[in-house]
Amino acid sequence: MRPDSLVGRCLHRAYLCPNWELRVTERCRGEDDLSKKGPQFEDLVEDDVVSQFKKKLEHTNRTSREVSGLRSGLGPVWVVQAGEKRRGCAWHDEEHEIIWLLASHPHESGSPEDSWPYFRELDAAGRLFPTEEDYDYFFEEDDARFFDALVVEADALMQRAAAAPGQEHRTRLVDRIGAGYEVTVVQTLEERVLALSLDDVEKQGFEFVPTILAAFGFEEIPDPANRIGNRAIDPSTELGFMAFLG
Amino acid sequence: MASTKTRRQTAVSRIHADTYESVKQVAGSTGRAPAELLRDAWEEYLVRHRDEFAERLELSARMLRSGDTIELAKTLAPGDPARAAKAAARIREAQ
Repeated sequence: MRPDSLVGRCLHRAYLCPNWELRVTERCRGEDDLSKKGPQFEDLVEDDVVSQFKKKLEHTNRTSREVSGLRSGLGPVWVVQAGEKRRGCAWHDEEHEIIWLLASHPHESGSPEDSWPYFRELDAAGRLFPTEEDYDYFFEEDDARFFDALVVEADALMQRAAAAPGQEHRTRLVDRIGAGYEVTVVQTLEERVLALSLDDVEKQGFEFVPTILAAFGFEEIPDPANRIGNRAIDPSTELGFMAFLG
Repeated sequence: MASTKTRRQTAVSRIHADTYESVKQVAGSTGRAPAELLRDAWEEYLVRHRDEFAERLELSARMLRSGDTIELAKTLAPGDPARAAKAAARIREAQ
């Protein structure tokens, strides 16, 4: 799941592209010559190989050159060139829509320490491609994307509402849930009103409503609301919530 | 990713189906509109699950404040734990 609001962001161990996400295998992250370390993708982006990986594979799933001599039958592995002295290699996992940076190594043509034999040795040892640990991280992050997007989109809507109080601002949260939001400031009190499409909420599941409310800063069960902006909330098609914050 | 969506919708429809069926039974005998059915389902959900609603709101607020969406997803929408093993097995088979 890659909601539009998350595309172009480093999020957890990934960088989200329009058609796939970029990830670095844990083996590469832990063993190879990356100049930056850390659990998040963002921690690594200043490394030359990771930087080139992000730059070259954000919009296309291949580079101009394939790593030759690999035994695994998992499709092409592409060379990621970082200057003259380092090489990485990347593989497109089409089933999960991930491009993995599999390895990174110093490069010196003809030297026994060259990157090509290093990539081939990893492949022969069954250590080049992603492991169960890599997919564990991927799936748990994929499960969280709805919530990541909800936070980003609720924040954006609240900012719009704060910039123009007293009127309804609308969006479609995570491309699934029609929402309207209004903030009215009266002296030191801030009235917040949230309207959600009842039909959309029912499709997503009523049990997600508390999380949607939390994303908008409600921390206790809010009161029902019957107006937002300059209109009435239609109780047959919308859920209205309101709360005052001091 | 499609499997994630399907799983979430399945979990969701399980809870909703209980509520919706009971509302439908009542509405069927009174000839009420589908929009009213949904509204009643929501009202009934709130009555039946008010404590759970409050707990989820508090939990969600705490986890979203700390930026821990991964733990939130594990709690509210846990995925199939066998998925990663299956993905890795496919790779091992091709090596």
